[in-house]
Amino acid sequence: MTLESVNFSFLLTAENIDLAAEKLMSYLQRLELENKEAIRLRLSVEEILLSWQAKLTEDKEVELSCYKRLGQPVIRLKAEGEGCNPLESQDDEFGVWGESLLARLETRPVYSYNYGVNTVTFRVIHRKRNPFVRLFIAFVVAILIGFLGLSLPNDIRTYIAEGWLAPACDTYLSMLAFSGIPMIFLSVVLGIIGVGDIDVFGKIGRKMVQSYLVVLLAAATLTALIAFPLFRFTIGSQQLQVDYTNIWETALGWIPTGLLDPIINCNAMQLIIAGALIGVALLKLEPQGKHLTNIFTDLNSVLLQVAEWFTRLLPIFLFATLVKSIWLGQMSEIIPAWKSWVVTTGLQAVTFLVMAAIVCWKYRIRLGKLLKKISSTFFIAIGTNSCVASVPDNYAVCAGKLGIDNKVFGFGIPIGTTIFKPSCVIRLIVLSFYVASMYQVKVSLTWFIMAVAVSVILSIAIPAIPGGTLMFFPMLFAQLGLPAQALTAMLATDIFFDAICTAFNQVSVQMALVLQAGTMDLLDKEVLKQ
Amino acid sequence: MNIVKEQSANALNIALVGRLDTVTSPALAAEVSAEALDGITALTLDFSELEYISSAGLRVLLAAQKIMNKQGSMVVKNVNNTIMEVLEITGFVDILTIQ
Repeated sequence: MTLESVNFSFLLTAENIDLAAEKLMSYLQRLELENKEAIRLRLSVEEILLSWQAKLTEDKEVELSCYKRLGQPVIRLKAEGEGCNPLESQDDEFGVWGESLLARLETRPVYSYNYGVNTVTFRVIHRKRNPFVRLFIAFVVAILIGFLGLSLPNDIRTYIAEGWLAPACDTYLSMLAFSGIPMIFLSVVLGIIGVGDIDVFGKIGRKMVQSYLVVLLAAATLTALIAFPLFRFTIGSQQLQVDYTNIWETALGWIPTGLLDPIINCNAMQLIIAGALIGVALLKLEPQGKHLTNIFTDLNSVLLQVAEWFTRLLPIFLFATLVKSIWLGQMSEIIPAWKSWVVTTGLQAVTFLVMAAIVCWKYRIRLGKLLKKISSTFFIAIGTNSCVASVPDNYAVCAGKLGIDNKVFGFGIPIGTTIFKPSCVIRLIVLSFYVASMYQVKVSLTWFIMAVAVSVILSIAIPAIPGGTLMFFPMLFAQLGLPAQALTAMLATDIFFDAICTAFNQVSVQMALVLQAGTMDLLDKEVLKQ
Repeated sequence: MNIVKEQSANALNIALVGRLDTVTSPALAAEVSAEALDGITALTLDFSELEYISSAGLRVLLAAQKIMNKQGSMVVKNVNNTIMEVLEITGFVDILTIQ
């Protein structure tokens, strides 16, 4: 039975706002959306309509549309009149509260203003089964079929594995690069443009971004130093001396020599430098570059959607990789990869605990009490493998249990979720060290510096979607000269640790915000110690 | 929505009956404005018969809480499951004192 769409045009009176909310709830209930999410959407739509009512007056015509596009439920609000972005209203305490409410949705609405019409669009996400279930099923089925299939004749196994499964796995890796490569560029451009708005937030915003970047670099450097003795590298006796000409040549190689070269060559560092140049130029030229910024923003949204579709195929990739590996006798490449994830998880836990210990020491709070406060955010992130899904709880914990002022976490959580991913940095560094040692890649001091730099920069560009980090593995490998044959094995094992990484990132954001709020005198220590 | 008020000395008790939505919230806003709460040190909002709350209603609660933070205390009591779900989703459980 097809779900009837809703089209309701009305003037912005109080009665009509309530009526629109009723029609929306009715649609969402027919959609069988989870009640909490339906309430969030209703309240968000009401907030947007109230904001427009205040700015555009009651005589403006507004349209509420609820429909499905390619199976995806969409809610759209349109209002004629002067440009008014309700998602950026922060002129009073209601704006701040509204911003928090909108941030608690799993899908952030998108605003646009064209030809005198304000439009806000929500893409409604149905909460599906826990992604781990599909991955676990794929894993179990792959192991069963893999080992049962060993009874097949060798030539049949080889034919299927090399003729069908291996090309499918390679194609999937290319699919990841399809969206991942341009996203590196767009993340840097849009990140710089977004950071430019920090002037609006004044000192708080600037200090926050600075401290995030400093902690990220510190975590990367410490990880490299701690992980180095854990792996056996192939290093020439001269290779640990500083070769300045080598470093200079490598750095020069990062500069893009053509507009499309970074994308064609899949060169991550060139993409980042190109993105930085264009981002700063757009910021400087504002408002002339506004149309290009909008194009980049829209393109980023499209690529995020494509990336989301691709990561849904992860269970199939996992299945194909494991069966292929078992049938071709390549499990010896996959099984040892677990060591790198044990090291990664250990370092992620240590990094987080160091931050937590600093909080405990500074504010005289027991570690057990602090861990209990943040445990809900941690487990939601692990259970959903989504930093976006844990954002609502993150807000609640920061306000109600950690005593952080809204001025800090209201801005700090979205920015932190976007750029502050210390666990991803650790993951990329340990991964590159492990592969280099396992496959006897010749390394040098320059190589180690590159590994740290590329890992930090890529971690900032990683999108906040489940499996987002996986898209960047091919680029990390290409940049560091790591063998592509290792890529499949690392991806197959990484899938299961993605959620742990996400969880540690979220709680690390909380620790960073506590420390930042403390230095700005925006921390309620009584609430923190409760 | 009906608003039932009881005041004794510096304590004001307001019971809401019905829906607190965009149409009815101005009525509550008038009862919990700075002028209306002048001299009140203890405000109690009784939600036992409140069926529904909208974003506009939440704004009024927030404004009232901000006023009472400066001059006394505000308590919200007898919140039913439906309203409590809204308060939890929006994080208002951390802002309001709920009994």
